Amino acid sequence: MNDFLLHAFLGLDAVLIAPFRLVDDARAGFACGILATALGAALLGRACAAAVDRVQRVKRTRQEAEIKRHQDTSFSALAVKDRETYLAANHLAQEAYGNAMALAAGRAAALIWPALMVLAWSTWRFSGVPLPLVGEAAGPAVFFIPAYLVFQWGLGRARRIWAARRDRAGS
Amino acid sequence: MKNWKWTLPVGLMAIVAIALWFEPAFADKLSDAIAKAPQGTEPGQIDPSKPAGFLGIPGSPVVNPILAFCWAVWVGWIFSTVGAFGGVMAGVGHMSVFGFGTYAGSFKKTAPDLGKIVTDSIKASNQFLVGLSAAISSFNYLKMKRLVVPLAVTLGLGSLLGAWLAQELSAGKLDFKSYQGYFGLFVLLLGGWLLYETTPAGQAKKQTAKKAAKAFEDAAKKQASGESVDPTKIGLHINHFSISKCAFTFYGVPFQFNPLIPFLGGIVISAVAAFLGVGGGFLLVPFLTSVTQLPMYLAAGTSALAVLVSMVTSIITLLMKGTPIEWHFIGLEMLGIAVGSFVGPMTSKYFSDVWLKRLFIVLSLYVGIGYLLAGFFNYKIPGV
Repeated sequence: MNDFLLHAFLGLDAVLIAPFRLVDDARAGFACGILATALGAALLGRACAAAVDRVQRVKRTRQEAEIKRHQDTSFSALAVKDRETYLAANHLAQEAYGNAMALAAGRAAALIWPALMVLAWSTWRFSGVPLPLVGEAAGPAVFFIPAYLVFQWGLGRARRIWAARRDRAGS
Repeated sequence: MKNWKWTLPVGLMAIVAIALWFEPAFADKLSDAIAKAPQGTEPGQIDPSKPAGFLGIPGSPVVNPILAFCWAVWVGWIFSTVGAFGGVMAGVGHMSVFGFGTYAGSFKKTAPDLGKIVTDSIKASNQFLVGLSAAISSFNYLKMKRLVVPLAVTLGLGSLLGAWLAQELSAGKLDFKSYQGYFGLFVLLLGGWLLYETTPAGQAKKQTAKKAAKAFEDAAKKQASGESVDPTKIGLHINHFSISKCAFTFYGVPFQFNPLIPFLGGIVISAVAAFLGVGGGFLLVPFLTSVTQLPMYLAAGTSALAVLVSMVTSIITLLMKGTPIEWHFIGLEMLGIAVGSFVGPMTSKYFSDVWLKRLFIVLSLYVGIGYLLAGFFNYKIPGV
């Protein structure tokens, strides 16, 4: 089992270090590697979160519909000053919200695990190595996290634009 | 309001990047604690000849990655199937299954600094696991504009202060046994509350709420539809904001609250959550809906943001105090939780929700009592 884990780790290391070696210049290579791993982590995270979301869809839709139903009831009750029904419906919405939050935790974990793995790997791989601009004062996380967040934002935006175009084409 | 979409992620990114920038400067704290610990082969001593395990400490528990992954799958499965207990199970994994608890506890007399660092690291790992859903929820609610900004600000400030105070006062001071005891007390109270909800008295309250809501819905359906909503009333409008009063309308319905109440509530709830290494959303939502009597429609997003603020503050405070974080370990656990959350909805049809809840109530009572006895009375019961 230990051999399997070691081989798996070495294989992963070879894949992750490859973009850092694409360019001969050390600084450019580092930038290329950080950007490539950040993009890869963002893409893999999005794919995993989408897969979890797809499996959860039925349950999530049910929970969200329940939350909405109780919320709507609570609003309507408040509008006619029926405080008792308002509080009762609000309480029921709270319970459904707890379940929806638990499902969101799964999607969050699916989205973020590749970034944490790359963070762990890069911290280990570049331990003691002076990095461009910061030397040994900071780790690769300082470069990786902003790049990862920018890619996440970009992918989210691209997905929204694509969905809007698809909806327009459909209608 | 729309600027929140930009300022929040950018602000968080900057805070995390700055914290990680400074992290190596504080990393010596662990080395100092290891150097101060007595060397030897007995419990509470460091054996330099042994392989480095958790946090790179020689002789510390070496967690099998497959075991860590499988336990995380279990945590994710529980979260997605039962909708609760995931945080508790994550804590049980860290403390009992992986053996960090016994290891940290062994340094209580010989090297208290090292034990406290390990305890803080366990707390930080728990916070990563249970608080992440708040991050996703916050962004979703921000996009939907379902935040009462003055409430989010007062609650967020309270949460920030509470989380900071809890970590400032407890980081590096809380030995593992005390932490285990308080965690046990929390689990026991949670189990007790869930048990009450399954009793006839607890069920009756829920049934009454369901009946009231159902009766209202039926009555509403009978009414003629087609009433138009005044466009000027749509959405959230803040009418008055001062130190003692915030008044707003939501879809034309007036609400008001004293901003000091969510501020003080935020301090207390976030301090408790940060101290225990849990999210706190499960306390904030009932607080907002019961004390300030806000509708869930607004309480959900606001509390998610407060949990996010509290989580980020706690983790940054711990990092600044030199608490080491095992990124690969947390990453592996996240992968496991993702797999568990994937499997959960596929298998949930084979299990009864009620019986699963009852099973976990019994489990949480056992774990709670076990941790309470072990932490405060040094009495171990089997399995915990």
